[in-house]
Parts: sequence; C-alpha cells; structure tokens
Amino acid sequence: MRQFTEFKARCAPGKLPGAILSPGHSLANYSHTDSDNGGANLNEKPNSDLLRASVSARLDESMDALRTILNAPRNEDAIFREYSAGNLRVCAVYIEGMADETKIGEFVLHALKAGGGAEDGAPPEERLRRSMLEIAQLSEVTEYAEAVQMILSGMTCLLADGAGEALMLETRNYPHRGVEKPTNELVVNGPQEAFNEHLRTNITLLRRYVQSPELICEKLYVGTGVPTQVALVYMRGVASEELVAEAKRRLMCIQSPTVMGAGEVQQLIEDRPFSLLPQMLQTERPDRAASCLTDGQIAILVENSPYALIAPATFFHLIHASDDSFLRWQYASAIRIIRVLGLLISLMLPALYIAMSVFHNQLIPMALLTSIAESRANVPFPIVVEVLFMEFSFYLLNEAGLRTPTQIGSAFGIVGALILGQTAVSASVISPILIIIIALTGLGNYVIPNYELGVGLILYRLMLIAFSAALGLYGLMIGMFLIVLHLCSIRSFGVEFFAPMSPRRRHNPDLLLRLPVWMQKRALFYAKRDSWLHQEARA
Amino acid sequence: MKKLFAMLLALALLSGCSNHAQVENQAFLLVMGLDRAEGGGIEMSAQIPRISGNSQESADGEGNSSGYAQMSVTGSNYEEALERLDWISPRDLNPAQLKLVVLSRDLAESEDCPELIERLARTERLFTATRVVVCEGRAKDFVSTIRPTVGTRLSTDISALFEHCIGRGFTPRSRLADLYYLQNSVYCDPMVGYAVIGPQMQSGGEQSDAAQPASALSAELMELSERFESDIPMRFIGAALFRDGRMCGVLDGAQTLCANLLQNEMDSFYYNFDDVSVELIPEGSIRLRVDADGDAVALRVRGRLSLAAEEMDIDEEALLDHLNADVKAAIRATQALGVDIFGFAEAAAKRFGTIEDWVNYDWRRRYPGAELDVRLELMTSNA
Amino acid sequence: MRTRIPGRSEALPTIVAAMIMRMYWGLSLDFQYPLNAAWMCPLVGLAIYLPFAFALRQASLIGDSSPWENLAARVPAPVMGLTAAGFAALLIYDAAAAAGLTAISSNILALDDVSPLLLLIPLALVVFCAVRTGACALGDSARLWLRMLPLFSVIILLVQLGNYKLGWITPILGGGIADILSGGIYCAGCMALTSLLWLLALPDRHKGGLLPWAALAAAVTSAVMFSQQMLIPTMTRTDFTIAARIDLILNNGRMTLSPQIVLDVLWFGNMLHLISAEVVAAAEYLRTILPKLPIAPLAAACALAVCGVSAASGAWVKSDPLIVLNLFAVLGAALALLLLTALLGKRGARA
Repeated sequence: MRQFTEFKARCAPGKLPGAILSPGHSLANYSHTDSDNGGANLNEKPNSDLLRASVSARLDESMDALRTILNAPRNEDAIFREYSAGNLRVCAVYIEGMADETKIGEFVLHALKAGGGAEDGAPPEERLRRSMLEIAQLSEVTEYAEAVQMILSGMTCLLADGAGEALMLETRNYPHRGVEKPTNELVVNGPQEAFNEHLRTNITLLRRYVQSPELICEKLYVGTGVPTQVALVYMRGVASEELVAEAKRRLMCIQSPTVMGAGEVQQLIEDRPFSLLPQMLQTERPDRAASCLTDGQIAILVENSPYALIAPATFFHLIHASDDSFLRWQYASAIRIIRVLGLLISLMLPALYIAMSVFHNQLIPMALLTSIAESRANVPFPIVVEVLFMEFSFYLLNEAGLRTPTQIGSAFGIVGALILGQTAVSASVISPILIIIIALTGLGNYVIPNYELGVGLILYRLMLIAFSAALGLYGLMIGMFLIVLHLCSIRSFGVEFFAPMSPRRRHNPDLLLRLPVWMQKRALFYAKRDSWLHQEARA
Repeated sequence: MKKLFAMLLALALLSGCSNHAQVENQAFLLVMGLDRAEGGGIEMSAQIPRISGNSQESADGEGNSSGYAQMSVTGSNYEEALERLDWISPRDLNPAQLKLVVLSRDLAESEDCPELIERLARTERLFTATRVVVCEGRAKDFVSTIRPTVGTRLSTDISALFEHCIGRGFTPRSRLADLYYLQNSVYCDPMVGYAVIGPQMQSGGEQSDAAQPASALSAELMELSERFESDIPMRFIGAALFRDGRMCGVLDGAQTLCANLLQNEMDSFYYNFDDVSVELIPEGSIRLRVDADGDAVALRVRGRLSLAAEEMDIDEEALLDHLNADVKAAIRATQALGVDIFGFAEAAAKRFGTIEDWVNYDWRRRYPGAELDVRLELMTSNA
Repeated sequence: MRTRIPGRSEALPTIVAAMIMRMYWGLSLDFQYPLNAAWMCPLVGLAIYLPFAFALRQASLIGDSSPWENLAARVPAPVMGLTAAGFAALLIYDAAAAAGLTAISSNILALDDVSPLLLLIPLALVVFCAVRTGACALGDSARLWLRMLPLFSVIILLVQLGNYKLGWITPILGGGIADILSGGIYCAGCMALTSLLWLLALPDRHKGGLLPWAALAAAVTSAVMFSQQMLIPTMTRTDFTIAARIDLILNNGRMTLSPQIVLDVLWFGNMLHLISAEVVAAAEYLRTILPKLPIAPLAAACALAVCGVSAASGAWVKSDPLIVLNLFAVLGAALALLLLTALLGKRGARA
C-alpha cells in the first residue's frame, strides 16, 4: 500500500490530536496553545480553567462548578437533584430529555434510599459503586471536562460529598429514529435495515452482523468547539494496522470547531477533497458495512449521521451494489456489466451525440442523419445549447423533486413529462431525438448505486460536453484521457482509485464479473496479508 | 499559474469553434454525376435531400414536400465545379454522406479520368467508401433517374440495391477506394460497376452512340427485365474496366459474374444455362495460380462448386463445360484489353522476393499472352 | 506528491503502449520503404533491440535502485547530466512529432477548417496535466488502456474480415532486405526511445524484465501492420502527402465505415498515451538534473517545448531518415557508454 503522504493539507504541522477526547485527554486541551500543537492557537473556551479542574470532594463546590459550566439555572435543561441517603449527601446532575429519568428514579435514587446508611469505612464513591447503585454501567471521572461531556451525551453525573471523583451512570435515553428500511440503497434480495442517527444503535447493528470478539470499536470525539462522537470500527487481524493508525491520525488531525455529520468528516479526512469523485464509500446499509469490515476496510460511524464511511474505497466499491452478493453469480455479473454500460452512457452519450452530429456525421447512417436534421429543422438553438438546456432542466427536476414535500411531489411527474416531453418538442425548443438521449443518460446515471459517484459523473459529463462541442471526437478523447489520468492519480487512504485492476493487486474474481462466492477466498490487497479470516490461495 | 492554465484551457476549447456546423445547416451530397462539358471542363450534377421541418414526412417519392433537389453546374475542372456547386446549393455542401459517383463513359475513357479520380479521392470529407459507376450516356440523365424504389430513403436504397446486385453477381463492389487504390497499386487493375438506363427510363431523343458492348448490355438488361417480367429497371449490370486510371472496356453481366466468382465474392449465384437458372454454390475458394516458365505464362483456375438442384434434370457435364467456357471467355476478354481484374497478379507476385523484382517482371506485358487452364468441378448436393 | 519516480510495474504499461504506437505510426506514415514487408520490421527491430535490453538489464543489476541511480553512483555527474539532457531533448523532439501528427489527423478527420497549429493547444493541456499528474498515474492509465485495446482491436478485425486480401502481402520481402533491415533499425530506435523510462523505474513487485513485454509490443505491432497490409495494396508512389497517408489508415474506403469510430478512438487514445509517456519521461530526466525544480513550471515548460517544436516545423515533424536510422545507434551508444563507465568502476560526485 502506498504511503499516506497525500493527506497533509488539512492537518496542522505537529499533528496535535487537537480534537480528541479519549481516556487520558481532556476537553481543556481544545482551548489553549499547546506545544504539541506546533504553536497553533486555539480559541479560549468559556470556563476553560474550571473545565481543567479536578472534581472537588466537597459537594457544594462541585455543584457550583457544574452549575457554572452548564450555565444553570439559565440553562433550564440542566437538572441538579440533591438527595440524602442516610448521612451521604449526593447530587445527580443530568440533562432533561437526554437522560432516562425513570432509570434515575428507580435505579439511582430509590436504590440509594434502599442501600443508604450502612457505613463500612470505604470512600463514598466506593460504597456507591459497590453496594448502593443498581445501575448496569458506571465509570469514574476526575475532571469536570470529562464529566460535562458525558452529561451532555445523556449520562447522569452522581456527585457525593466527600468523594474525589464523580460517578458517571449510563442513563442515556433520548428520542431517536428506529431502525428503518434503507431509502437510497434499495435491494430486492437482502436485509432491509438501515443505519439511523443514533451511534449506539449503529454500532449495535454492526455487532449483530459481525459477531466476533475481533470487531473493535474505538470511540473518539471530533470538533474542537462542539465535539461530536465518532466510532472507528474495524476487525483486528483483518484490517491492516497501518490503515487503522492512519484513520485514527486523520480523525485526530481534524481542526474544525464543529463537525456536524459523516459528510463533513469525509471531507475533512479524504485525500483529495477537490476531486469530483469520492474517496470513501458512504453506505446506509449495515450489511454492506459489515461486509466491508470483513474485507479489511475500516468503518467510521458518526453520531447523528445515518451513514457509515468506509475506507479505503476504490472505483469498484462505488459501482458495486449491496445485493450483488445475494443474487446468483450469472445475474449479478450481467447486472454489473449493465451498470458499467450505464455509467459509460451516462458519462459519454451526450458528448458523443454532439461530436458525431456536428463533426463526424459520416459515422451516422444517412437515414438517421436525415431524421436528426428534420427534427432539428425548426429548432432555433445549436445542438450544444439544446443539450445543455435539457441537462439543466433534468437537474432542476431532480433537485426540485428532492426538496418538494411529499404531498405535491407526485405533481413533478406530470410537470416533468409536460415540460421535458411533449410541450418542449411541440414548441420546437428541442428535438425529439434529444429527449431519448437525455432519458438514456438519466437512466444510466440512476443505475449507479453510489449517489456521490452519480453526482460526480454529472460534472464530468458537462466537461466532456464542452470538449466535444469544441473539438469533436478529438476533444472527447482528450477529455476522457484527462479524466482517467486524474482518477488514476487519486488515492483513498493510500489505495489507488482503480486498484486492483490498475495497478494490479491481489483480489478475488469480483470486479466487473462476480464469480461464485465460494471462489472468493483471498484476502484483499488492502487487508492484512495473513489475515486469520481468509484462506489464502497458495501458489 | 492558474490564470495561465485557465487561458490555455479556453484557447484549447475554442480552437475548434470554426468548424462548428449544425447538421440541419448542411447540404449532404448523396449522388454526384460527372460529365465532360461541351467545350471542355466538367459538368457536375448532384442530388441532395431536402430537409423539411416535419419529421413525419419521408424524404422519398414524388409530390411530397420533401424530396431530392437536383443541381447541375459546369466548371473548367473538378475543383471549380465543386466550388460552384457549393455556391448554388442552399447550404454548405458536405460530401461526407456521398453514396454514389456516376462517371459518364465519355469522361471515364478520356485522358482526364486519372487526374479526376485522384482529385475525387483527395476531396475533403469525401470518403472513399462511396460507390463509383460508369454510366452509358450522360451521367446527368442517369442521376436524374435515380429514385428510391421501395419507399425507403435514397441513401439506403442505393446501398441496398448495390448489395442486391453484387449478391446476384452482375456488378462488382465498385468502391472508390478499390478504384483509387488498385489504380495506384502494383497488383491487378480495378473494375467498377457499369450502369445503364433501362429502356423504360431512357431520356428521350438522345441515343447512346457508344460502341457495341453498351448496346449488348442494354439488350441484356432488356432481356432480363422481360424474363423476370419486371418494370423496374435494373440499373447496374456489368463492369467497366480501368487501366492506368482510364476506362478501357466493359464486361457484360455474365462476364462480371465470372469475375466475381474468381474473386471469391459469391456465396452462391444463379447461373443461366439452357434458359434455366440453376443455383451454384462455391465450395471453398476458387484458386488462381500462375505458372511461368521463362516467357511462357499459364493462368490456372481451380475450384469446386456444388449444384443445388434436386428436382431438375441437369446435364452436369454440359453445365460444367458451359461454365468453364464462360469463365475462359471472361478471362480472354480481359486479356484482349490487357487488364487483369481477377487477381492473377497477386498469384504471380508470390513467386518474387521483392516489389522491385515484381515490377520489373512487367506483368501487364505478359498477361495478355498467357495460356488459360480453367478447371472448375461440379459436386452435386441437395439444397 | 505529484511527480514520483515510477516503479517498474507502473513504467511497464506506459512503455508498452508507447512502443506499440510509436512503431505503428512510424512504419505507416514515416518510414515506408519496406512497403508491404513492414510487418516484419518490428520483429527484426526486436532482434536488434536485444543488446539495448541487455544493457538495461545490466544497469539494473549493478545496484539496488533504479538503473539510472545505479549508474549515477558510478559515473561522473556531468556525464550523467549531459546524457539526461540528451535523452530529454530526444524525447521532447519525438513527442513533438507525435503531437503534430495528432493535430494533423484531427484536422483531417473532422476539424478541416482549423489550422493544425491551433490544434496543438489542447495537446499542450494534455502534456501539462500528464507531467503534473506524474508517471505513476500515467502508468495506471496506460494499464487500463492496454486492457481495452484487445477488445477494440478484435472488433475491428472481425468487422473487416471479409475485406482482407492475403495476396497483398506478397512479394514477401516487399521493398527488399536492406529496407527491411533499415525498418528494423527504425523500430529498434523507437523501442529504445520509448523504453528510456525504464532506466528511471524503481524496483518493485514486478520481478521480470522489460524484454518479454517489448517482445509482446513488437508482436502486436507486427500483427497490426500485417492486417493493415491486407487492406491497403502496395503502392510505390512517393508523392503521397501526410494527409493522404493518414487518410489511407483512418479513412480507408475498403473498410466498413461503421467501426471507424472505434478506429478513431484507438488512434487518439494511443497517441495521447504516447505523447504523455515521452513527455513524462523527459520531465523525469530533467528532474534528475534539476531536482529542486517545481512541478508546475516544469510541466508548463514541457508543454511549451513540445508544442513549440511541433509548431516550428509546421505541425509535421518529418523524421529525417538519417537521424531516425541512427537513433538506435545514438541511444545505444549513450547507454553502452554509461554502462561501460559504470562497470569499469569510475566514481563521480552525485548530482
């Protein structure tokens, strides 16, 4: 695998883990100049001194500190519930709506009451943890920064008078969407579950598909101002250590104050953000993500994003669909070929039409040429303008269909047919043949399973239209050459975009043709070579 | 640097703009006829399709608003005539879709013909895949008679008609490429199709003053029309032979059939024997061989055909003799003209090491006096 | 990193694609003396190329790095610098010839109202992007292209099957043994020139040498010339213009018109890869002399050089047979000298 030298532009020199919150790091690191940060100045956050402070043993002090940090009582969501259990004074701090108050009531307060009073000389936090609390998960934190971050995520912070630590109780229960059907990656044969915005649920979905102790889930926070939790998921012993380390490094290098979703994470860590095509795969299907994990890729899940980011991603990952593996190999192979043809049609058909009808009309049979000429006889625009007009109309309809409320969405079918169909032709704004060209182009675009690839191809298509309108087939070939050259130069986490076809790498017979599953035993080239999961084909 | 790049990109894309021609703004030349003009020069006539705005109308037939526009100009030479044609045509002339070039016999036999063929082949955007025929009489009259015959467009009609005639063996492939390349090559000589206006379609008052072979072709055409009880004139029959770029003779339909057979252009064909058409199928290739012993040259033809005639009682020996005799007659006709169209030259060239030796051998001098040995065999098979 | 030194597995497809196209257009348009025996020239050229391939191999065996680096460790720096400059100049010159030919062919095929000189400008863009993107990406692109070549070629061959005339291959020796040998030297020169990138390639997972692939390139070119000869009868005229000769290849009227688009795609695709391969190799040689030169100015300089040389010659850089015939000798001598110096153990300061 190539060295990961592409990714350097968006990382500050010195490569501080500028936005990490993991054990051993504190939220206070976000807010001051640190020598590890190579001299980069971070904005001072409010209450930064308080955030860096340790939890006080005195309950009143701790409560005051947290009130200050959480802006209570102005921030009415922050609840401070004082309670006495015997001679032990405690205070539960949580965010209303994020924490499950029923759990707090039953498993904390009620349990405290039931177990209160007995003193055995142990520190209060020890007594609470061992014998008084009935909550399933709890952990200790010593700094206010960590405590606040966990409170904001829905956990309950239990402060006890005399305890030098705060206990963080797992009480998260906030409203979120359930596991629903995928909206963008539909399959006929296969699971009908999709990721949702809840990180915990998404991780759970993955664990259901990959029930292995080697499935590792490392959690991080990204965003120097407002942290967002991110999970880096991989299979130990299958994904290469360099890949995992590089993914972690890139996540740590994110310097953005806010990171609001997987899309932003992708843009912040991919190799070539200015490239038109994505270098990571976005999938909403847990089965697809699980399959990628077993192939040796890594998955990045982001809180509040119903997608997983998979890396490394090559061109072939972008044109493969989820149900290719579920169908019989003959049909799956045929569908893939159709998909590739659709991709080529989507990319080149309008440009080819322009090149042939304007510059190379000897290649068109005279009968068809006469039809084209007759249909264009009353059209006032040149072919190029016609094509661009139709392309623009198509994109308008596309985008409008996405943004329109469902109730009036069905009207778009009628509007589209009217505008793009009969009326435009009758008014001699466009020729009928162009309707066919654009329709085929659109269909070719929609057979591409990856949305980002489809959008990127739209822009490449416009570029090819410009080249062929100016220079004919010569221009079209130059445009294609430049596109392929550019795509061959981009990397996804060190992996070439057209690998394993070019350059040739170790792979299974699953690129364009998908041969039977039982023939696909080899570990892929980006996985660990002697992976425990794959039977290597011995030479 | 980015500005330089942007300028380069803009320059790169704009450099082709001057060649931007919309398809409906062009006049596509479909058929071109070339005659010797009175007083010297070239008379060029052409058919271009009329493009209407109503795509429901076809471009064929009489009386429709669409159809084919006929134009005719005269120039001192080919280029000038072409330029004048461009002037008078309603749109920019585009010869990219030219299907047929018709040369009058008069012009084909003249000393201007070699240069004309050269200039035809060098015409910009004119592709040498176009067909060339020599016509009896005036090319202008012939061009004016060309109409789609079965309701299709003229372009497809010409191609289909040619393929049909080639399939029947009465006319050769007739591409400008064959004419031009072979004319300049060190091998055999080219032949192109010969066109006659059927008796029903002859222009009034102007009889052809061509020599006997043309009349024979017309007679042959009439006989075929009568035999098949057809009104439709079969235009392409026979072949015009060229040597050094000038037409030097004609083969009739039967001789052209033999020529096509020896060039292995026939998958099967109908052979007229004893007023009966029998279907013959070549089995494998017809082999041409040249044996030379000093100055004595022998041309040998070997091949096998099968007869697909289960219900007829055919005298196979007589048929074979007749066929062999016809083939010999066709070869002798070309020997008399000093034109090798069959491919014996390629067979002879095998015996030499270099092109220089081959050229020095002067095949054209030896071909007319070569002996003939034609032995085609007949195998009987069920159809 | 934009321009990186390619590994052997990346240099290989670039070299093969460039070799095939350079020999093909050279024999079809530039050096036509062998006439209908031109199909033998790549095979003869392969035999003549063997010593050069051997020298390349020896250069790669005398050290662990690329052959050029291995030589640089043993040969005085000024000698290496002069040789690199010479190689770069030759490559730019040849790329200019290919660029001019591409411009003329596009002029013939469709853009007949546009001056071929203007049509060089898009090629300047191609050269610029190729140098900026680098030899590794070019190698991957060439590998993809080589995968598609057989499909396109088979389509054309099958569609033309009925138009071939085997008799046009005879007389078998065509222009004569002397001309075949000259053609072989020409082809060897083409192979030597296009394989200069191998000198710079670093060892990687590709374990074999260049020779088997050069042999494949020669065989493919030979097959293509053979099939072409069966479509175009031998003509001994010497007054054909370059436009007429290009017309014979690309607009051959004996061919079925429908696959012409495939032929045009093959032609332009191969030419673009050839030009890019030569210019990228020239750029890499220049970087051995001037390692600190930034990529963007280098790319711009190469683009200007290629188009400038081509435009100065009126877009058709007719190869002087004397120069071309001696091209192999020039390249072979340069490499032999370097190798000899290296083997004799002379050491010099590294650049």
